Formats: sequence, structure tokens, C-alpha cells
Amino acid sequence: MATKKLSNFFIQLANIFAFTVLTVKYMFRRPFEHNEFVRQLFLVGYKSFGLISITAFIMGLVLTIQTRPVMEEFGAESWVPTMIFISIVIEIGPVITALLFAGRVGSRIGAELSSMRITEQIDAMEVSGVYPMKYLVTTRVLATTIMLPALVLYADFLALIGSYIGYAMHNTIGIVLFIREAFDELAFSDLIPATIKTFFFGFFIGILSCFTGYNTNRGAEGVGIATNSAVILSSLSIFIIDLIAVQITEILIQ
Amino acid sequence: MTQDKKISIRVGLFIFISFLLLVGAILILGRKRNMFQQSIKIATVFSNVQGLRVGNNVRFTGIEVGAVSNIKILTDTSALVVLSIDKGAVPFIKKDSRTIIGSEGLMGSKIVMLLPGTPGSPAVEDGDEITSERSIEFDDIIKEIQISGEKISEVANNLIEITGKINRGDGIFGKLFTDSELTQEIDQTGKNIESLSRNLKEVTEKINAGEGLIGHILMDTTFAQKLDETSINVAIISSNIEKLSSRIKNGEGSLGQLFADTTSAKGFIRMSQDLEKAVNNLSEISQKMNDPSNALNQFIADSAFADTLKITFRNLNKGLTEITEASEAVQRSGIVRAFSKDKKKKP
Repeated sequence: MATKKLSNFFIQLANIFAFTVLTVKYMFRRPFEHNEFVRQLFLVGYKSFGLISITAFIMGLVLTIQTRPVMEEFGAESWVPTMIFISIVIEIGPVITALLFAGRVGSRIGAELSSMRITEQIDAMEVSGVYPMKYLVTTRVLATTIMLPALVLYADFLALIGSYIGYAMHNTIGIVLFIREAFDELAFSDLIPATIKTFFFGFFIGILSCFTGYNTNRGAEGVGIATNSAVILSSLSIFIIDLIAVQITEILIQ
Repeated sequence: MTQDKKISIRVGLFIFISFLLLVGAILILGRKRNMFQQSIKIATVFSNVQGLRVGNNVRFTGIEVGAVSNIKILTDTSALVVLSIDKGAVPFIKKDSRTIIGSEGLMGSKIVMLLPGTPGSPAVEDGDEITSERSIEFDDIIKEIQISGEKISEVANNLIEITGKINRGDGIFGKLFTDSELTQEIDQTGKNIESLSRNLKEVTEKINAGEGLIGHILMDTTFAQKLDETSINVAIISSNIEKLSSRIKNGEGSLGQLFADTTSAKGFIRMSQDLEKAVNNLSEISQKMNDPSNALNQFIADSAFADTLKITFRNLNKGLTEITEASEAVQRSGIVRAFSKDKKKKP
């Protein structure tokens, strides 16, 4: 039983790998599905903007309000902007945004593709000479890969605004000075790796959601399973990539 | 188609704004790290960089003017630190400026501080090396504290010894604290000093009021004027004496001849010998006079004798006036006038 589970896991892993290779291969194959790609960018990125904005704003506000009294106790209240913004840029911004993104976009892609699979729309596409991998998967994966970093940048900015409002409740400080202080201890070695890893987050959210949706085979029940595992696998992958990214950044900066 | 266009515009705008945010963040960071600003590089050598890292700030008169761009070990006792300095700040940094490593607050990161050079000297140029100064490290402070701690404990030991002696009653201080007789004496002395000071106070008050001789001297302005005049006279006299002495020296006048003429010197010596004899005699006489049995001494020293002498003189005086009056009365009386030779002259 255990061996079967283990072998299933490895089979799944191999399938995911094969699926990833195939997706990347189809990305460079002409013709490029332009209209579908833009539509996916719109659905994946633009439609997630509202959710991400509200969460990021509240995140910055709440973090600041909760951190300020503790820092005040240490007499390091003036370090609040710096501290909050560093933690937002390095970790909270990318991870929280990616998790929300996985929940919102991953579930949508998983459900969409799996229901297309069980209603045999994908098969019909193959028959009619349209590459479903190309039309459905690569556009979605590219869309998530490009849109997540953009959303993370928005999220960082809005969290900074939220943090300013939270800080300005108790302190008199101008927005310019606040931003200056926020960027005080931030380095390129913080901003660049954090941005690069969001591309990987987006890519794997897209790949895993598409994979679970694309490989469904058990009818209506399969749609539920596929949606569920799309979110779970995406979220899990975020943390695993985050862990690897931290290690690589550490090695590269040293 | 219009729907597709709308979507395209929204997506494009969305990506464009996010790209702007990224560029903005990079620009803010870049300005801080002086990446887009023209700068020059100057070197300085420290014996200990105290944990300075590449990217730490460089401050000149408290303003950030650059960053540490490179650190490498030069020899076994020195490290080369390359600083990149903004072009705008370069004219103010002189060639003889010095660097010192400081820290931003108690726990902050290390910074390089540029200390200003002398005003006249030329500004630094690219590739210059400027001297560094050793800053106070935490270890030094600890060492200093250790040394002073040892000294303090020595002092404390001495204090313990001293207080022990005092408790036992050794030495002056010991007696001071334990001997009750001594304290009484001191008390008495203090009282005496008090009365003395009171007397002094009275005296000084009198002086202030211009009473007594000293008061007169100190307070009377006319007296001071007189004193002034006197001193002027003294000055005149002294100048006269000077003139005189110079004339004597030149052999002018009889006294000058006296000093200058060698022939009369012998006679002069003899004269002085005679004078000495006379003085001796005089001293004998005066000794005799001092002898109370001597009559002359009585004349000089006996006050009672003096009194009687005074009375005698007074009586004599009185007697003489009476005689004068009597003689005048006799002169006026006609009997005598009749026999007087000059009766015709009197009207």
C-alpha cells in the first residue's frame, strides 16, 4: 500500500515534469495564440487586482499597527517603516500575494480545464487540429508567470501606503520621508531576488493548476478533486520554491 | 473586437504601471547606492575596519556623500578601503582630510566619517589616498575601565587602612576623632579665633571709617595728596643729590676737592681718627648718663625731677611777669617819673 502510494507520487512527479517540459516546448512553437494570451492576462491579472490590493493594503496597515507598540518599547519606533517595508518586499508581499493568487487563479484554471476535459472539449480541440496544450496551457502559464510579479509589485506599493497610514496615526511624518526611511535599509540584493522568485511562483502556480485540470478523468467528482489539488499543489509549491530561493539568494549574496 | 481592445488596453496599462513601480523602486535604491551619480574613488588604509562592509555610508560633516565600494586586506596589519565620493561633495573634501570609522547609533551599522581638512589645501582627486585615524573601539573602553577599576580598588584599600587607623586613634586624625581633650582645645581655639576675628572686624571698620592713623592714611585724600607732594619733593631732592654727587665726582667745589685731592686725604684721615675718639668719649658720657646714679641721668630720665623743673620754670615765668608788671607800675608812678631822665619826651 505504502509502496503503491510512493510509486504513485513518483509517477505524478514524472508526469508533472513531462508536462512542464512540454509546456515550455509549446511556448516557442508558432503561431502564438495572441488573443487568448491577452484574455488570460486580463482574467488572471487584472481581475485579481481588487482582491490583491485590499489584502496588501490591510496587510501593511495591520503589520504596522501591531509592530509599532513593540518597537516603541525598545525605543526603535523610527525603525518601523524600514522594518515593515523590508519584510513586505522580501517575504510577505510575494508569499501572501502568491497564496491568494493560487487560491483565486489556480482554482479557476483547475476547474475550467478539468470540466473541459470531462466534457471532452479538449479531445475535440485535438481532433480539429488545435493544439490544446498550446491554446489552453501555455497561454495560462505565461499569463500567471507575467502577472504574478506585476501583482506583487502592486501589493508591495499598496502595503507601503497602508503602512504609512498606520504609522501616521501616531506619528507626524511626511510621505516622502516615510518612503525614504522605508527604502533606507533595502538593497538590490533584497528587491531583485524577491522579484525573480515571484516569476517562479507564477510559473508553477500556472503549471500545477493546468496539470491537475488537464489530467482529470473521473467525471464531475474529478472536477472537485482537480480544483482542490490545484490550489493545494500551487500553495505547497510556493513554500518549497520560497525555501529554495532563500537558500540560493543566501549563497549568491555571500 | 472592441471588447478585445478594451481588454488589451487594460492589461497593457496594468503591466505598464507595475513596470513603472519596479523602475521607481530601482531608482530610489539606485540613488541611495549612488549608482547613477558620478563619483570619484579615494582610498584610505585602516589598521582595523571594525566590521565595515561594502555599501556602508560615507559621511562628511554628517551628510552622506558616498559609500564604501571595496575593502581588501593590504598587509597583515592593514586593510585598504576604497570610498566612492559623489562629485558634488568633492570640492569640499580636502587632500588632508582624515577618515575615521564610526557607527550609526549604538547598534547601527558602521560608517566612514570624513573629518574636514585645512581650508586652504586643494580638493581630493580620483585615486587619492587620505590618512585614517584610529577610532575608539569597544575593547579599548573596556581596557580603560579595567585599569581605572584597579586603581579604584587600590584607593579603596588605602581608605580602609586610613579609616582603620582613625578608629584605633592613631595619628592626628585618629586623635581628632577619639581624644576628647583635644577637641575641647580645638573648641577653645575656635572661640579665640572668633573673638580675634571680631576684633579684626572692629579694626577694619574703624579703618574704613577713617579713624586712627592707618584709617587716616587709607581714607584721607588730602593726606594722599600731601604724600604725593612729598614723594615729588623726595624725587627733586634725590635728583639734586645726584647732581651734587656727580659734581663731587668731577672734583667741583670744596667737597669735590676733598674727594678728588689726594694731598688733603691724609689730613682727612687724621681728622676722622680724632672724630672717632670724640665719638668714643661721647659714648662713654652717654653710658654714664644712662647710669641712674648719675645726676645728669636724673636730669634726663627722672620724670619727677622734670615735673619739678617744669613747675620751677612756670613759677619763674610768673615771677618774671610780676616783676615786669611791677617795673611798669613803677615807671608810670610819678615819683619815679620825676626823677627819670626822659620825662620830657613823654607827653
